[in-house]
Amino acid sequence: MVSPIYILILSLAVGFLLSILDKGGRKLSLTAFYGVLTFNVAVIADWLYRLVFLHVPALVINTAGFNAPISINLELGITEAFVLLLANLTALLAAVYLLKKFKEGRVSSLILYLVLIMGVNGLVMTQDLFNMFVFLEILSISTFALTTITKTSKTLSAGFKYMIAGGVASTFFLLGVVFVYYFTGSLNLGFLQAGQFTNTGLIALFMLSVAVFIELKPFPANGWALDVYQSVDSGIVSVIAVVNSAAIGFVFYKIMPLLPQNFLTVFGIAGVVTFFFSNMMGLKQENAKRLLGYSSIGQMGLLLAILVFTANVPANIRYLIIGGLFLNHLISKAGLFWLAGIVKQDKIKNWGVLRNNKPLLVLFGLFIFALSGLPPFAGFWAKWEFVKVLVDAKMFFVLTSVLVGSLFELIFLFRWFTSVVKDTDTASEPLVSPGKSKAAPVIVFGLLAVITSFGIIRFFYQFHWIQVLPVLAVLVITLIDFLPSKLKGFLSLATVAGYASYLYPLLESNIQLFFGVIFIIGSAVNLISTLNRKNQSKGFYGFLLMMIFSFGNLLIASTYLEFFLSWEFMTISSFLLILRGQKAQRASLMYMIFSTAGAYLIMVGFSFAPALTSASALIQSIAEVNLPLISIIVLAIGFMIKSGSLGVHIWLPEAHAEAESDVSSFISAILLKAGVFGLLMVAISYVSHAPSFDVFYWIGWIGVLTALVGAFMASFQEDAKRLLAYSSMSQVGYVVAALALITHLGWVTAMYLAFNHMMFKSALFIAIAGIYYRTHTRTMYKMGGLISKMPWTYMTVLMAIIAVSGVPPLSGFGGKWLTYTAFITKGWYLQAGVLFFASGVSFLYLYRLIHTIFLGQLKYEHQNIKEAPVWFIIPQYIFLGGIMAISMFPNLIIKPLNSIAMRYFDSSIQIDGLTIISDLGYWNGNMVMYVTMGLFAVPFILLMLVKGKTQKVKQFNIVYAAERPESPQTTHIAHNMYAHYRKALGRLTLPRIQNFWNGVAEWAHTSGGFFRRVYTGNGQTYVLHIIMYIVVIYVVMGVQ
Amino acid sequence: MLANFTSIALTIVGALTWGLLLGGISRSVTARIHGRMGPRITQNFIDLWKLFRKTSSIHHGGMFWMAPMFRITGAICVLIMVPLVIGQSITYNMSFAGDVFLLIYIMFFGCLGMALGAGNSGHPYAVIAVSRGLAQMSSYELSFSIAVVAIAVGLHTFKIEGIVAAQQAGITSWNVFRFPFASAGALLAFLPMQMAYPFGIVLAPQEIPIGPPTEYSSRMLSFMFSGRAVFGVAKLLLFVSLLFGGASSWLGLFVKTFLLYMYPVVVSSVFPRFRTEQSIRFLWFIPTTLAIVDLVRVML
Amino acid sequence: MYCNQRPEKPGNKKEFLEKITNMARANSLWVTAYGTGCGAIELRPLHTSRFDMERFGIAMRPTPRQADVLIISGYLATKTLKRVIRVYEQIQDPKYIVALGSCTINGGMYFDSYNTLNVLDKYLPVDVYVMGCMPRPEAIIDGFSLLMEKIKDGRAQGWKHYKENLDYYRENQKKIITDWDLPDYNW
Repeated sequence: MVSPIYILILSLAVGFLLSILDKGGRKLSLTAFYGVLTFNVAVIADWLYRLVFLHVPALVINTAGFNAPISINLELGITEAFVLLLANLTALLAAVYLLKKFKEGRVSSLILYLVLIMGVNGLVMTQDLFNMFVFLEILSISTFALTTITKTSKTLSAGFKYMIAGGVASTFFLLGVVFVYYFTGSLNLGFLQAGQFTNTGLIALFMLSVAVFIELKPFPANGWALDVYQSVDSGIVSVIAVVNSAAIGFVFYKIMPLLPQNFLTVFGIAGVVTFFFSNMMGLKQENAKRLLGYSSIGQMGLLLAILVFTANVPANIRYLIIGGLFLNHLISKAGLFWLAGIVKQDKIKNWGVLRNNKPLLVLFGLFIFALSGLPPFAGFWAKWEFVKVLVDAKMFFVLTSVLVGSLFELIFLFRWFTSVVKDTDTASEPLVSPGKSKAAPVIVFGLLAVITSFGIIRFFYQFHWIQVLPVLAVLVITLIDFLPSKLKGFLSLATVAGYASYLYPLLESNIQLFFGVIFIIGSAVNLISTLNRKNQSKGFYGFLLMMIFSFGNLLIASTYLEFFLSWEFMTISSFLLILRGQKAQRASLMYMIFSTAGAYLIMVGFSFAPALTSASALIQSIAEVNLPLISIIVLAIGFMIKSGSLGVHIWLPEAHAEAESDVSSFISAILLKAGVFGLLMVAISYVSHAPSFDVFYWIGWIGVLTALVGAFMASFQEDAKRLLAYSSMSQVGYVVAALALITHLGWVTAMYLAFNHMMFKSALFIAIAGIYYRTHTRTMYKMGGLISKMPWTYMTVLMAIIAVSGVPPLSGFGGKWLTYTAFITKGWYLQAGVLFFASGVSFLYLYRLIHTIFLGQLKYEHQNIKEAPVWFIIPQYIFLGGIMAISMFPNLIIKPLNSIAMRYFDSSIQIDGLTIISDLGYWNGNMVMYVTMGLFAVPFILLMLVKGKTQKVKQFNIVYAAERPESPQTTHIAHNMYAHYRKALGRLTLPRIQNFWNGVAEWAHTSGGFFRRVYTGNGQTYVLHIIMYIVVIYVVMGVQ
Repeated sequence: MLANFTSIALTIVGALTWGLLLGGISRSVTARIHGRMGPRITQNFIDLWKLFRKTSSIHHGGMFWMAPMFRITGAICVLIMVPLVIGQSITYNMSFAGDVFLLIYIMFFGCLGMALGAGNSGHPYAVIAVSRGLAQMSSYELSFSIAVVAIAVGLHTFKIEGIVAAQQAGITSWNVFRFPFASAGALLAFLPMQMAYPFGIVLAPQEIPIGPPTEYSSRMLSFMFSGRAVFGVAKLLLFVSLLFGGASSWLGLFVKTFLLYMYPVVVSSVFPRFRTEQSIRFLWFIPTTLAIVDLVRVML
Repeated sequence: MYCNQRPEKPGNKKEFLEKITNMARANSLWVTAYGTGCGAIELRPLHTSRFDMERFGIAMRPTPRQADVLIISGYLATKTLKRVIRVYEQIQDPKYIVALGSCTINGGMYFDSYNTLNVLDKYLPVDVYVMGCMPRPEAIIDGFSLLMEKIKDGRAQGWKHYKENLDYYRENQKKIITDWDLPDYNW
């Protein structure tokens, strides 16, 4: 039990001794140096342990033997200890990171470092304002001195700017201190009270707080800080960005209770503004460290805003939000700055060198994910709770700014991440292997991030282990990643089976079971196609299992948070799977951006939702919850983004097309259904608690138009997978539209269509995967005539397209019949007409798909091609079997769906034997099948009997105006097959939605670039900014 | 059971005969419009028999073989799922299998098979024709479907029998008079359905020799021929049931189908051909608007 | 890419059915739309109202796959012969050739041209010749009725002859077409 005062004393003492010790060799001085830093961590850790677990009261140290206010007193409570532990730990690790510099540099940098750390510790602990000023100055000066540890003109000028800005801020702080003393006669925080400051007294507080605030680098008065971040050595920057900021932020936290509410609000908003604009400007930033600088400034702004806006929140939640975000920022920012020092590339584009070092790449990803606020990292939980706080407090402006700002941050972080993982246009020189001293801190922080996230899950939320199963799956598979791919595939299959059997008893209703079949059984069958993978396909199965488990967890999630957690796990895993595709950089980024935007909306929607009343699965219990209108709208948009509805669909074709071919089937067939599942969940609540505004009417129209536009777009694609992607969009549009009917038949239709789509689209994507595997192309006009080479695949595609098109006797017709019946019963006639049109248009793309690949002319280079591997054939035929089964016996599926929908509505169809009867019409699937088969057989046999001797002629032996075809390319009608249709559509074919989003992106970047211009790099201008900023704040606060 | 099968078999044979005969008559009528004599009325029977007896020494692959089967199956399915004569339940054949939407969708069955066979023949013109045909089909189905929806909604039933039964109160109760705009839309859609000019872009013998069946010869062509004949009759039956009060007697059936069949023939003889995009645009705007007028009327 | 099998030699058909079928064949002659020479101009009036060949069941087909009759309408250049052979071989059995004009018989006014065939019979089995330069539509109709007679009697067996003596015809054809780049068998 060592008093923390010794931290200050020891740091100073050793600091002074160092120059003497250094005479005895650098080893000695370094030992002392690291000894002190370790000592600091140990002392604080010890105290934190006592404070938290042994419930020791907060420690108050009175210096010089007197009590406060006569003496200066230090205080160490839980918060202080927490901040200091992290700060000291970071300082220690940063020092380890800087080992080489310290070894070779002058001893003065060691001294300065110790002084800086002493300043930080003092700043956090001291309760005296003047003392605070002193520590601030110490911090400032030592930081300035340290920035010049590498002497270049840039660091010198950056350090000088830092010095000036710090000077201005300290002047104000000092003035503030003087005034405080003048008005109250005390400088001890323990003796100051907000009530003592009235009228002119407020000026004292203003000066005090604004000085601290300026030190926290608010936008736009923060140019000086950015230059420091950019130019100074990574190790030092990590200290400045994390440790210094933490200390100064804590100072603000300490003086906060004194400030009146209007001050706080202005500071809070200024924090949000800083967060928003920093991230917006980050969009256009290409320099890695400056980018991190923007992000740091933004994060500090956010932290400040959170400090202000969570004042009235229960303590444990507040600690989670602030602590989580702080921890997150600290860990990931320090980690990334250190990585920047290791990579030694300015341009983020050149960071691709990280690919040479897998562990570092993983750590990099980990920090990026943590910083973006994705689960399971601390920032995720903080963001979730913070959004809830903001929604409860009805601070929608702040909420929007924070979410949009976060989205900006996510965009530039993930642009960076995808570029690192995928960009081919990257630096050519290899990554210099980092020494142990440089790698160790990064690894420690990586581990720390993981440990804290598990801590939060285990101890704060007390989740069941199944909620983190997705992450566990990744970890386990990573451990066995050295195994061959096929073995891992079989293991995964077995795991999914085990998971399914575990999940089955947890399902409470048929609706869960139904989606369980789509999610889990569908995934399991799809998984078979991945068995074709050669080599090790590292990391693949981990993320695949993560995705499958998060699908399953969606079903049994019993709180909003659990649902959202699984949702985010699903997003992450699918993003990482898409990213595996060869040219998936752009596609996966777009997917991530749209998914996150959707996730934010869902988060907001859930925050609006009233508390759940029962402990059963969310899909069950949501029925009793009265979702407010805003919540319904926001949730619906969020889920519709995932299901690729019109307007927000542009991620969909890219992601489907660019993902690896065996991944695409998962995305299309199953992932899109997760959006449907979510939407259904919203609708279930809507059924029993319909608000005045008919939201689902408009959702219905969106669904209908999605179906139509998707079909048109699909018809104009040259790329098989893009075609299927647009087709998925169109088909899910049907599902959404049917769901939006909010009738019994509508829901039966929606679920029928969803199930059917899962089967045929899986089969189609796997078929295309097989073809891609053999031909190495997805461009359809480069294929042709493959029917003779791949008859099995052809058969699948044929059956599947019949099932898509809705031509009897296959299952698609059931969907069509149900759709029209449902729409017309509801009275949505025009919508039914448009859907009919869409289904007519779907023939265009379906024919294009089958013709351009399988029919027509075989290319020379495909003469010796073989049938797709058996691993692709098996799942195709399983799905085909499913399609045939529900085609022959529609009751197999209609009956359960009928009973599911009957939970919410009265049944509107009768099932009379094999005939399904609605109010308006009827349909007998069995009979249609028998009739068609029978009728097909008769002429077939007849033709077989009379056909005589025929020979199959070679492909070029066609009537070709008495000429002979030159080559398959010129004879195969495939490229731009529906040119006439395009012509007929005229201006309608312009990619308006794409242009719109391009415009949004352009606008965001341009404004980012515009605001960036305030940073001229001129020290005087920066000072001017600061002064003007203070004036503006002064005016806004209305201080008398 | 036996009676049903007999009825179905007779329906098929009857439809084939009637279809071929109508084809022969239409050739004559066209010839008369041109100021020619024209062939015998039985010419189509002769052609069919000749084709059937010609040797087929070549084929282009499995799908090429299957296409005529698809064609004929699709045609017969539609045929036997439409009730023929009202009141004679034996002639309802298989109409218990589904309602009007089943009929509309099963009409695609033959087209799809045909398109696949054409694709498998490897002939570029065949595929050009298919792409045109699909484009045109998606366009005319729009107005046709809206017309059907308008009628089905107006009569509040999808069942063919129901739709026919609602038209039994004299000529004015026929849907063509009760839903004049929808009927106009459907009848305009009937022209491209019968590949009549000005919508004859699919077969277009002048530029893409005969379209999808370019490579088909002899027996396979004869199957397609008969398929087309049967399909024609089936479409006539559907339209008669939808718009013209169905057939209450055999005589009525023949007269109505005959007259309806002659309508595209006559129109076809005097019109030049649209280009594909013209055809698509026409079908989108004129018949669709007409059909929507009645749909809106029904909704109000 | 093309064909590599000899054509099947036709077997004997059942008598009775053959007779009925021949009646049908004679009354349903479908002509490949292929104008090889100047005589094609005389075929056009046949379609129109003055001569109206459809009343005999004669119709034009745009594709040889569906046709029965190939009309060699006048002089046949060596360059065209290549195409004609391909078209003829693509017509399904039974098939007939009607040759119009003097040129097809002996070269006519082009008898000494460097690139025109003189005797068509050596290269393709002609069923009916129609004389004249050019034969008027009436003459062509007359020729067709002759063909119909022959078919009815089962005498129009040029296609059989061609198959049975394929080597002979090929040899002659290859003599004329020096740059023979056709597949050997065009079915």
